[in-house]
Amino acid sequence: MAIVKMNKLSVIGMNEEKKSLLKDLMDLGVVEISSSTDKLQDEEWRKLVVRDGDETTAAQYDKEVSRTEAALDVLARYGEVKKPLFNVKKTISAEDSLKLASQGEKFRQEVDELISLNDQLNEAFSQENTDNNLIASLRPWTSYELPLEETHTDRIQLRLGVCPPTADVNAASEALEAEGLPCVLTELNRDKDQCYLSLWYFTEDQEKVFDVVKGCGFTLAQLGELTGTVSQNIERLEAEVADLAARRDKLTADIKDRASWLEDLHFYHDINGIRRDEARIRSKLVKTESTFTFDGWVPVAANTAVSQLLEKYTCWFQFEEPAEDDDIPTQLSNKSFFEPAEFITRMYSLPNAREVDPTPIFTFFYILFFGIMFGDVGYGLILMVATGLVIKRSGMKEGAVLQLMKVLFYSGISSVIWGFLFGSFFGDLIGAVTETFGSHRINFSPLWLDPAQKAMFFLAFSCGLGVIHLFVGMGIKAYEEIKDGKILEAINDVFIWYLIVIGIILWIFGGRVGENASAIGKWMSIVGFVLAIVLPIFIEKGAGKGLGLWNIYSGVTGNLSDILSYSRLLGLGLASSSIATVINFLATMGGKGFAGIVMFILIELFGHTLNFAINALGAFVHSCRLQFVEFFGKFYEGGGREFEPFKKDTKFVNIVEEGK
Amino acid sequence: MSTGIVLAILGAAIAACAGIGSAIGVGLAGEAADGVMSGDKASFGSTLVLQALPGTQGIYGLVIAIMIMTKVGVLGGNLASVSTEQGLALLVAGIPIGIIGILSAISQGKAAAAGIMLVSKKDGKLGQAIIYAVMVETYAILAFIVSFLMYSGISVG
Repeated sequence: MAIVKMNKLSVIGMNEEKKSLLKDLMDLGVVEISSSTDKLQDEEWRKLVVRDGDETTAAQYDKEVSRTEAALDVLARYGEVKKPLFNVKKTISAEDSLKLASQGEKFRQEVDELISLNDQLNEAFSQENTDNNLIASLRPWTSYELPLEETHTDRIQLRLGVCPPTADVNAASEALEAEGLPCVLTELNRDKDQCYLSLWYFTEDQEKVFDVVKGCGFTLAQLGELTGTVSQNIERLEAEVADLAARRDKLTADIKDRASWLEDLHFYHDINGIRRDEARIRSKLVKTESTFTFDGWVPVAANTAVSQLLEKYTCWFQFEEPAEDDDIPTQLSNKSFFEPAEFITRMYSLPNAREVDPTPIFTFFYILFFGIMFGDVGYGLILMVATGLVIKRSGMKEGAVLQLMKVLFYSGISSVIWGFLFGSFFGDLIGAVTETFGSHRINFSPLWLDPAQKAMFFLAFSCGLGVIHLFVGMGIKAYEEIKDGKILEAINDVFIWYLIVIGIILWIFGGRVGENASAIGKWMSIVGFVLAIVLPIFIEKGAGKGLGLWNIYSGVTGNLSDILSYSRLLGLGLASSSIATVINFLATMGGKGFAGIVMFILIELFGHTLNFAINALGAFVHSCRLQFVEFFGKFYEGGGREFEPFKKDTKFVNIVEEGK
Repeated sequence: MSTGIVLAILGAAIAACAGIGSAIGVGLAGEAADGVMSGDKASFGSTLVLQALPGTQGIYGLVIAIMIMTKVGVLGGNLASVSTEQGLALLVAGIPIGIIGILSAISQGKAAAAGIMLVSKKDGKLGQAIIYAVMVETYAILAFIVSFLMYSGISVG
């Protein structure tokens, strides 16, 4: 099926060829190299080999990668580089990449320069901050006109200090006078936080003076080592700040001028990333004095290409079928129509390599259910056009975003089809407009049915679709069990339930189809129930033999709740069309006049945008849910590990070999 | 205005009360979003989507409310003649979405808030976080279906 079959590859080669062999494997990009930790834990192996590795080189390149990232950050922040909405890798030919790689020194200097510009910029920022803080702390002292470096004369000390704004300065002066200490205590300024004072006194009185002024909370001000008067200092600092601002502008402009380096940096980032990976992969290898060895995984389809490559070297290699307990990586490979839905499978969990890839099977149901839940010609068209434009314009080649867009595009088509079947174009927009602005109401009549009018029938239809969906899921389980030779299990787990579910449905609703249908249904379900009790006796051992009754209980309740869960198809379908109808109703309440038309346009635009967003999200998520919970619940195990081949893992550029 | 119409309007009011739950749920998720935006590396878009999830219950309630009001003619002009029994039936039709809407939106809000924590800690988990929160929504949809089926089964005039 759609999971790629893997072979186990083992290689033993010569150390002197290791570098070029690994490089060739990377260019080919189809071999996953497994870690050799297992071998190193094995006694026998440990006697023979040691871990290979080149951590120093890897670390060097890694440092260069992070430096480039830092430089790219600088460009992104100041360089006015437009960030594209969707990341698209630039394609470079291998030949060009060699040419570019020879300019490594130039790129390194560019990185250096950007980082140094950024450092200067940061320095200017922090200097500006310091200066501004200093200015703020000097401002209250402007009325003090002596130079700040003059802290004393021969006999007199000149001090600046602060005290709490509640302190009584006059009382302090009087207290000093009363003590017989000749000094001058001046209040320079006062704000809500502090009171700013200057205190002049004779040097020999120092201790006594301080004893007194401390009583009113006086502490010495810390203004740092400044020369000149306060006002001079502020002037100087303000000039410095202005200089720094100009300097910052210049630096920012300098960075902006270097925006054209973006492509260089992207390339430099990726080429170093590749070299780092080349060095890093070696820690997965083990070596002896002259040989090295590793194990890995190769898709069977790539076996020839890999052998051709390896035959060029002096090495031994072999391909093996995976063993029972091997941890096989999973690679999905689906035809172009089904490929986009892989991201939905991934969102749940990758299939393990031994089961069926559900992607191509549920794609059809996913799109069908999305269409029923979104079901509107107008909304569907908008979704198609929007996603179609993104797919076309963005130039994306791969990735989850592109897959999402494609799935939504198909879902848009499905929504348009269901919109016609339900007779819904932005709800009842056509009817509402013709009734309000025209002479009589023209309805957009449904090609099939209007779910709001025949809700009961549509509920049954939704659950019927659910039964089909669930039966397909159970069918996959049966397929897997039969493949493993567990035929009785398959009958017990799946076919009995086909019998019981169809039987009960016929039993209850068969009366409307034909006379005998109900009786047939009755007997089908009875046979099913009997088998459900009998079969476990043959399959299970020991206490498991009595499982039949439990199976019936859990099977009936499980299937019932699973089937009823599909009523959400009706629920969300109704929600999207009835909300749209309510919006149209509100919009046309203004009538025919000019104000009415303005109101109509505003409410329509706002309301339908909102409804589109809510219901697109709802349809997307609930369609996922029906796959994940109901469908996958029947058979899916998941827990697969993504196949991660050793390849050029780049972020910005795609390096392609000629002729590919 | 007959008693029937008053009862029907009361039914619409009950249905619209689903908005209480949405308001609380969206609020809960919003608080969580504010919290993670202040520090962790979460994108505004992903938290916004999660925050919006509990908002649907209010809309379901609004739809049922407007449909009931339209049926009895409170919206759109001509009042229909509604008997007391019919009015009471319409009132009852508003109850499922009204009550379940409130409770499910609050629970969904909590699940969405936890989902916001998840996306803030781990990249690429938005899909899972949405699915967990939307599990709760199922019951609001079921209530909406029940209310709708009741509503469409009642004919007035």
